[in-house]
Amino acid sequence: MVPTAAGHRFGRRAVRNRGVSREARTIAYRARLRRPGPWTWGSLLVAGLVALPLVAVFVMALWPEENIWPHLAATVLPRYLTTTVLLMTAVGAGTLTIGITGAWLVTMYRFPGRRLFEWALLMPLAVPAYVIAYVYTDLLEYAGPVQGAIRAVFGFDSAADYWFPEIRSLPGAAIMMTAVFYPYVYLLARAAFLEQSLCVLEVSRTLGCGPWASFRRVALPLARPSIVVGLALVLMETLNDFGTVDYFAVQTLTAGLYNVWLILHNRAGAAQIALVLMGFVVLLIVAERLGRRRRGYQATSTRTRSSAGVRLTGWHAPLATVACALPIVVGFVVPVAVLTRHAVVRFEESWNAGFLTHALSSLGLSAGAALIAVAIGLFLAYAVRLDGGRGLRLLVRFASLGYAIPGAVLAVGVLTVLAGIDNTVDAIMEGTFGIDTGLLLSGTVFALLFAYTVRFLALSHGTLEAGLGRVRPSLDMAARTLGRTPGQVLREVHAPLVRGSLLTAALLVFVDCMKELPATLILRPFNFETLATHVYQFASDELLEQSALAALSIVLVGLIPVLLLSRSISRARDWGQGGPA
Amino acid sequence: MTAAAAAPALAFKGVTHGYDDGRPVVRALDLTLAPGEVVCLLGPSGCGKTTTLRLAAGLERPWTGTVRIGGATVADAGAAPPVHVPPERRRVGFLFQDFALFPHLTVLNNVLFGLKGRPRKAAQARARAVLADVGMADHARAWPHQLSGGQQQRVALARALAPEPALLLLDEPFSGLDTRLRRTVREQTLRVLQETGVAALMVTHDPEEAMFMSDRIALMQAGRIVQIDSPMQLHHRPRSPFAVRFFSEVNECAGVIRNGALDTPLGRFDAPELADGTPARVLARPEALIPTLSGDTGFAARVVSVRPLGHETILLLGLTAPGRPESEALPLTARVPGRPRCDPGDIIALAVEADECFVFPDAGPDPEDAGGTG
Repeated sequence: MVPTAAGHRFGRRAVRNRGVSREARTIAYRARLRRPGPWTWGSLLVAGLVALPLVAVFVMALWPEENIWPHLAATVLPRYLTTTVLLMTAVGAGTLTIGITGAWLVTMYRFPGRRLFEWALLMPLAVPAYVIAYVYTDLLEYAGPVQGAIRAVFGFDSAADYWFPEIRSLPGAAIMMTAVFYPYVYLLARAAFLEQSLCVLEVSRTLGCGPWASFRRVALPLARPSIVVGLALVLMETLNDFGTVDYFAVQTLTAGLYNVWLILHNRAGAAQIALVLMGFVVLLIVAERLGRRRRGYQATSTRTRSSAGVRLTGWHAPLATVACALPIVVGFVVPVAVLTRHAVVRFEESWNAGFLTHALSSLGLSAGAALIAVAIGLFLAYAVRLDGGRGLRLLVRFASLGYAIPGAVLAVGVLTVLAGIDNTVDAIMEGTFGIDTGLLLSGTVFALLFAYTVRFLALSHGTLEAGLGRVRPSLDMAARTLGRTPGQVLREVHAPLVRGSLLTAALLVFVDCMKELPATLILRPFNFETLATHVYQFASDELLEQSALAALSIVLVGLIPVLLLSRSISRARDWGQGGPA
Repeated sequence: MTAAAAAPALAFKGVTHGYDDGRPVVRALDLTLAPGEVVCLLGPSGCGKTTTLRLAAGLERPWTGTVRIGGATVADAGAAPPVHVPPERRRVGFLFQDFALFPHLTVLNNVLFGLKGRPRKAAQARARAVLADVGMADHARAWPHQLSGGQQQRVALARALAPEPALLLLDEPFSGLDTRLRRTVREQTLRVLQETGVAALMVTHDPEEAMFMSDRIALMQAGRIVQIDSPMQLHHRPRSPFAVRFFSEVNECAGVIRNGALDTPLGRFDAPELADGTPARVLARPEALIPTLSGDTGFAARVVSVRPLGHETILLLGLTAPGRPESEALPLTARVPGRPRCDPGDIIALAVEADECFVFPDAGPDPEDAGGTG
């Protein structure tokens, strides 16, 4: 039989002779080279564009016009580095303690308020670090109500009569950030504790470990990969923060970057500091990836934790309640109460044309960025699904690194890219037509939209990738064989099926754009204010009261995704208990 | 092929294909389906049968070779530039293992999905007609998640057939169903296929399913078709040890050819086409060993264990050669109809049915080398 014989010979040669297998590989390579269609090229282009600012930072830092690196290294850099490391250590330790304790308590025990704490522990996530810093400074500074009360009660006359901790300090900054960043650790630790099968804990109990030893020797090691992911997110946010460290005059790398950029006007120096910052980020990403890779090992059994846990009795129960309530009070209740009071008292002054303009700017920008980020995220996720090649996958992953890059670094990159484009266009137009085009892109809203898209693409892309991942591949194939092109499949099958993910993605990007401060400060057009920059401006001038309404608006908008998140968590729990209806 | 014959429904010629690691999964495959013919691709997992199906649908581009559907070339890797008709323009129906019904569309809209180009009225009528063909007319307005597995399968079949495809491709279409349902759904599907007269290429790893469904079975191994024949032919004239082993467990005895025959503990088997001195082995299906309670057949075996399955019984036996200790007994498996008539420890006489035994030259250690004679 001819076909069999032919196939037979082919197979034998491939087995015996590696040369033929290499030939086959070349064929495969050529087949893949032929395959890229408009989707692949389009996504390569978009991903490349998004990756451009990062590349620009590298180029500018490594080949500077005016090299001040030796000067930086000799003078300020060691201080920046020390402060940054100290801040990261403190925030890391604080968020780990609060996040893990909270997650363990609400997952394993029953005590008053537990069901409320389950989601309320997430609420500080809605408060930007710079807002909480302004609020607590307002409360705790010398002229604030707390010290005023102390003086009134004890009859002190001046600061020399008593000791009170200085809030505007490195420890103060660490406490502020811990108060609003711990939910990242809480969220991931809780998810990990929920995923763990009850069996392993029960086994450890029967093997002679007490509850504390079971936690330390079984539950915690199993949850460690997830907790590492949460910690990495916390530290990335810490590196990203500019508002707090600026206000508290804590000299971290991010604060230093602004210093070199805005005061020394040295772009290359800023890019070099940015590169050092990226070094930290790379370390964090590696740690996070290692953490994620090991997550596969923790699936121990399909039986989820069934019941509501052990009931706490005696003084344990109120202690647990207090332990869970404290972070919520510090991170959410107090700031919102203070802001609400100011907003109500100063409503006449705050509710004016200025506020409405800033709010509209924020809403418009955030909505625009959300739409762009979702469109690009969907396009990239779908293109990867169509192409499946390793090259595109890697590039898309690189393009979605923006979330890990501090806003200040990104701003440097975006400005460099746009200035490059502007100068090129200007030179061409000047040379050819004698027209001076000046700055077309930099210093416009476009720069902000670009930066937001790059920074938050990971959010939309990740959400949509997960959403598309739940659509079975056979649906694509069924639609294709029923006469649809890839584009039609996306419109008629995927888009309706991932509608929820599209909304979630848009919302996440929208809210993060509303809160974004560091990049907005550098990139916004002249005299252009968003709610965030407005709050920054006023609070820096010790005029928090006038900007309280704006700050409160940011917090309230930020609550939306937190509530969504808590709803999806409780739904997951219901699934675990009753199964799908 | 004569000029008068209709163009084949599907023709693969020299098709080789693989994935990113550069190793071919389908190797120089030739396969032709006559119009209206049902062919099953049968083989172990990873032998390339699903890839073959995806190549036919246009979901993969072959590295080499040509694919023709109903006489039209839909893929030609050798042409410059290479020809590749995308799946949406191939007029093939695809029935998936998980049925792949669109969860956001009703049953009727699922079927209408493939009838987009037609006038509204005609499309509606056609959709309702195919739904009636598969007995799902009453569920036109239901949602996929409201249907049972068997009903989903029927809707998926209707959806695939609605656009009147030139070729239907079925990827393990019954493996998502439980055993009892599988039988009825299989029969219904076969009936619908015969009524429509559409050529079908089906992938399965279940020999019984392949025997039941197909006009011809293409047995695949390591990316190649090792034998393509009618079910009966494949069963009675297997061309390789692989073809025997794939259909059931077998009892194997090795030996060397002497005087045109192979002497084994199970007796002497003629192998006139093999030269003397060739190492060879006999493969005896469990049905070949028939316990007889009366008479001396020359083979006596001790019953090791009895596994009644209801309609048949599996016996594990130990065959001892005369004068050898029991510890050296040759383990054998026999399958007999009906209830067990012996107990562990009994000594029974065995008759060997030569029709169910096949001699092949010993292939050596290379499992890929499946050449042989029957």
